Amino acid sequence: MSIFKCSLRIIAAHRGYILIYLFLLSMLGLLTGFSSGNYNSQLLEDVPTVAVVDRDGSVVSQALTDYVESSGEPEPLDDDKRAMQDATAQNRIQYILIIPAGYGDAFFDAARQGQDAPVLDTIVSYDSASGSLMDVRTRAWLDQVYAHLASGTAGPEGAVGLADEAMTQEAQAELITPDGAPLPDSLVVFAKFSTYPLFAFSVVAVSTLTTALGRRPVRSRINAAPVGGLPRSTGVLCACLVVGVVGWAWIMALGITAFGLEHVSGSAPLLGVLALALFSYVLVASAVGFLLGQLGLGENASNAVANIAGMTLSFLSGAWVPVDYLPNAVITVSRFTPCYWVNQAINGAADPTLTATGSLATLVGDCGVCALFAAAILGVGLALGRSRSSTSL
Amino acid sequence: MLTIGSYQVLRLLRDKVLLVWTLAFPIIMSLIFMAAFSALDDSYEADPIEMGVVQDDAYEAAEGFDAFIAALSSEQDGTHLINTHRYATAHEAETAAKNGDTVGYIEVEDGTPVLRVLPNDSAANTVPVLRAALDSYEQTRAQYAALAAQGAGPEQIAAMQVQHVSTQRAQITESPSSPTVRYYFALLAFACGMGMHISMLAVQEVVAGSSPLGARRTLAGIPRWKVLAGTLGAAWLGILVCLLAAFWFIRLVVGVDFGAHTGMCHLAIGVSSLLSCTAGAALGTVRGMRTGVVSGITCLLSLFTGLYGTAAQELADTVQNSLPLLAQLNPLWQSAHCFFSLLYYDSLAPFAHSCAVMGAMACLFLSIALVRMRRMSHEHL
Repeated sequence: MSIFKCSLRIIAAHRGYILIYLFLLSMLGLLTGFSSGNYNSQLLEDVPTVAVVDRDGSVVSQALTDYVESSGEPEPLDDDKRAMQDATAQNRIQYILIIPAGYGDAFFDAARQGQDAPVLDTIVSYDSASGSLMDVRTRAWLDQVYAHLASGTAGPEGAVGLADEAMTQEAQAELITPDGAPLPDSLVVFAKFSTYPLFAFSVVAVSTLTTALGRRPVRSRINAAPVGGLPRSTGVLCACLVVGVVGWAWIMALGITAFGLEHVSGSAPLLGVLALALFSYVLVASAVGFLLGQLGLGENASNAVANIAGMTLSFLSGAWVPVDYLPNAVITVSRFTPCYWVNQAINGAADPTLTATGSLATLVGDCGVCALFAAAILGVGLALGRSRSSTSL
Repeated sequence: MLTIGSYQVLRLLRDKVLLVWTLAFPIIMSLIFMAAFSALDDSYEADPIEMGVVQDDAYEAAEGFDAFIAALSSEQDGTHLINTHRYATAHEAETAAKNGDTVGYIEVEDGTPVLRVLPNDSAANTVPVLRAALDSYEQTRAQYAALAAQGAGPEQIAAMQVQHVSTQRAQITESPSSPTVRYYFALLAFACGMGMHISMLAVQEVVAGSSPLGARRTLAGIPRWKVLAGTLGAAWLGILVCLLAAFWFIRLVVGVDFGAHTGMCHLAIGVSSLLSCTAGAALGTVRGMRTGVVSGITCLLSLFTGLYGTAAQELADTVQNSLPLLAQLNPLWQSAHCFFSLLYYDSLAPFAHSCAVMGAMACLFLSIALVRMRRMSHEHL
């Protein structure tokens, strides 16, 4: 027990790491969670930010401007190149339509003669489909106007009015309410981001402890103490576990308080899976910290490993970018990392169909795979520690 | 001064952990980005999804709707959006969706198509496109009805199916926009932040109160300014070399396009490394400053450059658009913005502005550091 208490005192003496890696980095996760949109509602209603540069001022161009601005979220934009570059580089406007001078007359003439209408320049953001879909709607509106002008049944004002009326005809779209209450997106984003602070904190704190206990004079004194090897090792391992549990409890408490308080009762099983997934990852991180301590790496090296490995694992597993973005080869490689299985479990917990199909066991299995990584790494650490202690004697 | 500088460089090069932070870290992360984003362009494509279709009387009565669904399901055309699963009732289709067999279903209600989908990330690319296609079906039908009402004949209506309207994507920025370069620019800015480790450590070894070594070097029989200039110069050189190595690795091995002004990127790296050096020097004068604090500061500032994936980029964009002054106060944002300016703007004014801001920040940090480093009175020893 005294070894356990002493270990906790050592960790408490390095409270700066708790402040930086756990508190500060988890706050970053909190910010990220708050800023993440509601993807479910965006699935059907992703309204792009739009701007129209109308250099024509004709009936057709004004009506087109009105249509585009009513279909998207209009943003002010000056008619100069620098302003457009700003908007594009800063990703402020997802769809910019440029209507050149004389377009209305040229469009009218082309429609009456059955020729192709003048081509319009557009600037479409790369990072979402909504800008491209806005372009499709623009072309559809122009097609409608063209058709009415070409048929000779209406003038520009009439054609524009008919096109506006036809474009109000839209298919309905609704979200199906799943049987089980899904976890909120912001909590899922927070949990995925938190894989990094959890890993970095646990690795640095545990490795600092084991490094401190592993210094030769300290180790010699501990070995000479009238305490058996089993209670001594148990005390240290329990302290390592406490470090992980503290980090896990902080992240869970923060996430539930900020994003999921109203979901505690409604989707308790899914929340449980999420908690279990993060806990299994904390076990891995603590085991890695223990291993680094046994290797005798210094404080700076532990920091470097914790950050580099933490970011790498979070990135490769799809915790920070969607798995769909990753090529198959990377996904195959990431299967050999614990964070992949954690991410699979969290993604499963965010999938509303799973409670209906009883697939929670699969998610628990994913957490189990992650825990096996922890067991393997801890085994290596223990073997290394045993080898080092026998060598030093 | 040169002797001090050269020994300082040797001392920094021998610290492998420092090299890990400032050199190995960006190289490792850029390799990971390279692997992770090699299929990014494909990820924006609308892949076919499993979709239920309620084939009841209303469906049969909707004119041309079956042919429209067949076109969306056809693997031969370029419009393959759905793999169709047909159900007799909406209840069956909904049950199938909730069981995970399909993403959702389409039915016809009062002659209008209705799309019902489960909230599911895997269909995020395709569902908006599918909805736009259904809208198009409705709008085309309304258009034909309006033309017929206006007295257009069947031949005229049939002729309307030929597309006469088109748009083209204009290239307004100096180089084409790419979703991946942002990660590399943020990574370079992060490496710049991590460079503070080098100057912080170097300064800690010449400040009187930090260590016995610092006390000895403070009392050395060399003018203080030479010690400080040699130490800071060596730290700047170390950061500069590491950043240049990372930059050229990203440019040559990873193949990231830095635009037409690649030469000017060296200036951006020079100013960024100077800022990193002076900020680290200022931090190094704080008693008890540890590497963990520097890492924490860098990690925090990197959140607002969008390094940590798509959610972090949304946050960074929100801050940048709603609180631009706050975003510009972030030295790492300025560093990343330097590269953005060179890539996207044809004018060098935005780049010069970022460089000037970083230069001013560097002067501020250097002033703080020098004021604190020159203290040699007894109470500071």
